Amino acid sequence: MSTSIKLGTLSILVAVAATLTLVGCAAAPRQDAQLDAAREAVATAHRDPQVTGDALIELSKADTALNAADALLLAGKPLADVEYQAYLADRFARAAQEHGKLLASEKTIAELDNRRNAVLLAARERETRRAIAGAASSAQETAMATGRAERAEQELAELQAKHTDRGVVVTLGDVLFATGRSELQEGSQRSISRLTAFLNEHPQRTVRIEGFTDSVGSDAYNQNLSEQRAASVAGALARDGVDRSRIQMRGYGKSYPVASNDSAAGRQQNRRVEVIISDNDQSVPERTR
Amino acid sequence: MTRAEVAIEQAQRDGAAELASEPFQEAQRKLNEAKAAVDQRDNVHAAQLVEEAFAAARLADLTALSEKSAKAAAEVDKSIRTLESETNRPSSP
Repeated sequence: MSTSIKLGTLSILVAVAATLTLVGCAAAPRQDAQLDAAREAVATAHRDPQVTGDALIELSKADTALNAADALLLAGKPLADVEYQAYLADRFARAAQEHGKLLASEKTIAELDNRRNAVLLAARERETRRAIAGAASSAQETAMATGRAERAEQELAELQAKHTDRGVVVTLGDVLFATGRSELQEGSQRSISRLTAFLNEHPQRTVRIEGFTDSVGSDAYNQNLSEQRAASVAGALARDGVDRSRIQMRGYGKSYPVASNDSAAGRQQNRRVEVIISDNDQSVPERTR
Repeated sequence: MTRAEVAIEQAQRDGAAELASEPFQEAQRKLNEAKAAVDQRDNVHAAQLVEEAFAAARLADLTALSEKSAKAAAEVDKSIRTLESETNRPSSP
């Protein structure tokens, strides 16, 4: 009795164990490392945001191959066939990602080309604006400079300037001074202004102021008067902005008459201040005749 | 066979031998194995090897192309930066 019970129990145990073994086999699917790697590669490609457009062609092939591999595995087909599909899935998934990178770079290059064109266009526009502004301002400057120079020349011409080998000579008559006095009369300002306008327009030129008298009176008196009149004109030019370093002066007394001292008209011509403006940046040479 | 051969030739023209040597050599090897399988009348295996050669050749080709394209993009970017810094520099007086 007890033996038969034991046998019966044993057979039940064996049956349970066999069932458990079968259940265990069904619950643990077959595995393949190559397929796992392919699955991961395909999943990565699906997550890659660059895999779009034409890159989806490779991704679709990868999906197809992965599905085939899974089906073969599930159907218990040879691992060689599973791994063949897994290989295709892996390579096509990686190719899809490379294709995605390629499309992204091509897009970047197209965008950069647009940016380069924009930069070049902006640079050309800036250059054009600069050129226009430069031309306008230089034309304006030229016109202004020409105008100033012309006016200054004209002012000098009105002073009846004479061109000599020492430079431009302007003779200021004794009407600028009261008789026997060295201070400039009020009406002399116009002549001084014309001179300073010219000198300011030609800042490289220097000026020499020479004073002369007629022969009336002592030599010492005339020498002193001629020097003081030259100094008066020099002071007036300096007050109008002509730098002192550009001004030389000298009194010659009754020397170098330009007319006869025998007549009143001649003596009036001899009472004068000559202003000599250099032709260049050198000092006006000393008078020799 | 032809499809794989064409893909390998294309990959070679695109510089895959240098830029993606691993998948490129793999594609060549698979193709040679496929030819050997045909010689042994193992047509099923040969067909699989041709497909594998094609897949490897496509990977090699696209890898080479994406690498070249990325390099080109970096060069264009650099040239634009140079251009921008030059054109933004104030002109000398």
